[in-house]
Amino acid sequence: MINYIIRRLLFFIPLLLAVSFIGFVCINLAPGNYFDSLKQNPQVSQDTIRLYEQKYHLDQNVFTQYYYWLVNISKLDFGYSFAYKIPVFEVLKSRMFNTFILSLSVLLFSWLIAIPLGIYCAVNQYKFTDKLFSFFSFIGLSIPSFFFALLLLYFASLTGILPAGGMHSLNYEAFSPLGKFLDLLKHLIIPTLVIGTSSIAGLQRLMRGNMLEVLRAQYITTARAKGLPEYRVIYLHAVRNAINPMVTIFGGSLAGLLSGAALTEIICNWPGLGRLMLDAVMSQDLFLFAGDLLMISFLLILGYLIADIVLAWVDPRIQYQ
Amino acid sequence: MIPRWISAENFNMDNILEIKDLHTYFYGEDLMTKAVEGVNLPVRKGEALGLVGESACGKTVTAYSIMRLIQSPGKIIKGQIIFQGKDLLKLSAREIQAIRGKEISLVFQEPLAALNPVYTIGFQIGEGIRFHDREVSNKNQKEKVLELLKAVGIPEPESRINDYPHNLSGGQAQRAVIAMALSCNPQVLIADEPTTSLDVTVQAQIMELFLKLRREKGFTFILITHNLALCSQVVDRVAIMYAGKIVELATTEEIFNHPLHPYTKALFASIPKGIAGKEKLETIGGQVPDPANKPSGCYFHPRCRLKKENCLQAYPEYREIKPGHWVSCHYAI
Amino acid sequence: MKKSYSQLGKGIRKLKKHGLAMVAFWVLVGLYLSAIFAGFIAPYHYDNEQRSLSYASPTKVHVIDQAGKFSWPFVHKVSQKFDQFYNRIYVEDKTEKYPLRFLAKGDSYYILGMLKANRHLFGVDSQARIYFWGADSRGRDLFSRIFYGGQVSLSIGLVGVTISLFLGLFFGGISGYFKGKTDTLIMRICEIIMMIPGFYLMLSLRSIFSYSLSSLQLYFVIVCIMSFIGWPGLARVVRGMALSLREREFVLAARALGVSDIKIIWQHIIPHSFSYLIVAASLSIPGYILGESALSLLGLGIQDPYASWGNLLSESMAVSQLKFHPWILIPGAFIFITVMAFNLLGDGLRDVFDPKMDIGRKF
Repeated sequence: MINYIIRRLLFFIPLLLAVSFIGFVCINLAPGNYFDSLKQNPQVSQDTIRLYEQKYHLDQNVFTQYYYWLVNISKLDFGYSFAYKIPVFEVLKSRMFNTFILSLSVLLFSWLIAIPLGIYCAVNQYKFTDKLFSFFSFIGLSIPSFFFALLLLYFASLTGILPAGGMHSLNYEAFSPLGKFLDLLKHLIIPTLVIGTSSIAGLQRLMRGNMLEVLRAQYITTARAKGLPEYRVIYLHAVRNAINPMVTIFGGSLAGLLSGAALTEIICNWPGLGRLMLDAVMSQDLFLFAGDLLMISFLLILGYLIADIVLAWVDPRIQYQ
Repeated sequence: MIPRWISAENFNMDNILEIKDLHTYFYGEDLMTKAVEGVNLPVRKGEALGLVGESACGKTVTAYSIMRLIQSPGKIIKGQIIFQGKDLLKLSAREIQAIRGKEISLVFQEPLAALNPVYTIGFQIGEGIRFHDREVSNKNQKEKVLELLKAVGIPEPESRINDYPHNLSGGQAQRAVIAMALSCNPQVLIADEPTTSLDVTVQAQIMELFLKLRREKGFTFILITHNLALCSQVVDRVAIMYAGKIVELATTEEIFNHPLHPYTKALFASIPKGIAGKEKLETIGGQVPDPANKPSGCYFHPRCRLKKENCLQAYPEYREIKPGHWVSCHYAI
Repeated sequence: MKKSYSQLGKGIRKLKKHGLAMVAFWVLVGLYLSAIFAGFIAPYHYDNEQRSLSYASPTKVHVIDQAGKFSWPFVHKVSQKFDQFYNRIYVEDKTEKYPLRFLAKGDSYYILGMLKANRHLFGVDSQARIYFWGADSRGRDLFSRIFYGGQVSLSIGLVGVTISLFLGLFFGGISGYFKGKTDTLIMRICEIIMMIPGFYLMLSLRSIFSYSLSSLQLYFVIVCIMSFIGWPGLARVVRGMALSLREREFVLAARALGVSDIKIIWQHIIPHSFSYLIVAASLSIPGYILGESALSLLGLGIQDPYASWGNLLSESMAVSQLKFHPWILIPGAFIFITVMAFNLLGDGLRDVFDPKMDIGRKF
């Protein structure tokens, strides 16, 4: 197993480096840099700017810059954010936590709803409810996330039931711990719904497909032939088998989450890594951008790695490939 | 006032199970398949009955119909299956669940497919016991399972009880399935081609096992197979099925010595008897009819040597030509 | 190439039986036609502003006049007032009627960039405005801008997927056919590109280019970015097909006969991959449309005064104001319908060609 993990790491780490390099190159290729706007400002002397540029190696070529950046990363120094004027790591920490909360919420929401829904639809195949959920599933997969988010936010602002975006209410600090928690939950609802809907749609389909396949298996007929009640046949015998392939999906869905979350974060004003990325790009905040991209890719790869490990644990044959 | 589940006619005390005019059809996208078309089969208490026929003749569907395991797109259209005075086809879901596994059990063709890959065989064998008799404690159940494993001839039952199906060979898995089927001491055991997917040597062992268990427990045995030779050793009576209908029914001795239906005769003729290479293999020309598209009149007529005019027009009546010997042919003598 | 035509014919016949997919097909035909004839359908040019009518509500079209009788549809002139809560409302001036004119004369426009015309499907005399679906912040007719926006959003999907197809066919073809080091290299590149979450890749690539590009350059840049993100997916499909096809007898026979590799790829491998490619392309077009919409929504894509469905939605980002002008969300519905239509069509095509195809949606 350790062997397998090492092999996977050897595969993922170069990938991580490649991705970070590409990102670095991209933002570097952007015409100008953060200091352009400062250069216009007569209060800031050209010398000071030049000093900054030298300090961050902005006057040297891409490869040198990247090299220095890597060296710093290995010391866990993500650099300095020009826009926020604090070390990048500090900015990342809080944002990462926020994205993590949102991802966790979506994960729980989508899996807790999709799995039972998939089972239900498989057991009631061809009935009206199955067709209805199939239809909703299709809508859920097709609706653009930003459109759905905007619609929900519109209704939220119209009715005032839910907060229209953001992560904390204005008087957040005044709440008791329970109040803070509830406030957080209220703000989580819309982004979770938006991201979760397409997630649920996809997962439910998969689960339904797995269940349908399993229900056709011989051992299910055997279970019935033993005189077991139908609920036991389905939940104990069928579901237990249908769930297995879903384990592998788990890691992959992390990737989808991270990707889909960024746009929704921005629209719902959720202060996470995705929103940060946009800000960094807009202000050409070099180290923030590179650090954010690295963090995202790292989380992604972590997800894939965990998925691979769990799969290998469940199915020993995989390790020997 | 006769309760709804007792059929008034032909209530024969000697028959533990009686299939009357069973019709089970399958509905596909464009076509309807009449898998079982008017099967009448009385099964006497304690006997061993062989149900013989080629693939797709409806024997498995008949077995599944008895247990009411037919799922969409299949449907039992009409008929009665009388067991212990009740019509199984009219029972509620709860009632039929009480019968399955406890009174009537089924052994399947492919043992490894019939076992759930994620549970141990001990669990699967014991499951039925628990469900049919709530009084059974954990300890009792385990003891019973071990007893059963011994009875079916699985060596070292204490360690095997925690094995998963994929740890077992085909033969051992089939023994486990048999143990599972007998776990609640059913009155009737139906075995659907139990040895077809096993090696030849193992086949013999499993048939031996069936005989032994029958002697010990005395259940009624219905053996479904396409192998006529197998029947001669094991069963008391044989029913020959063709294209969804029973074409001949008689004691083993009668069938072997005086087969009446042309199909039965052809089946006997095609059993390889002689020394390899010295005798020509007899085959029955033609193919089994497509269940969705059966021939007119007698279903066997395209392949029959005795075919005459009215064989194409009318399906021959199923009648008792000799006492206890039923045939469905216009020209059976 | 004949093979692909007969496959196509067979496919189309089968598709006709799929009710939903056919509906989707006609919806798409309708949308694309409306994009081509946007200038005709839209009563106003996309840049026709009227600041005094900012965020005007949809104009009411009346069919019953003051006297209570049926009359030819007409509208009233509208002007801005403030109500007791100091909210902006629009009040009709009921003194004058402006009849709805069909094939009305109006702003001039170009069809397909070549033919100049100035007749519109409908319109009213220039003193009044007909805002069928309301106006945006600068008083521009949303209805008109939506159809002009369709030109950009819908075309980016097609152009983007075409470029990706060519790139994918090329790289996937040589990768699968020649195997070895080329294959590994190309596949590694594909993996790297596919590993970066789409949105982040899009942002990164967009950041390379300055923010002050001309609209044409911007369009080109956006198409290139989307194609760059999309080609690895198609290349993988092609590679898979090439790998399995290269061992087939007719390919081996062609090689034995000395046919050049390029010809083999062109004449044999590509026609056989046809059905797969059509399905993959159809299911990935929504990704391109959504990508462009996301960029424009954030202000990084198509800029004012040009319209794209994404940038039309950008005004709705000020969510608290939406209740005053909810019609700004309508372009989103268009994106939604287009995406649904492509998905239905792609699913239908997949069922027609081979339901077991392992091609899912790309976004």
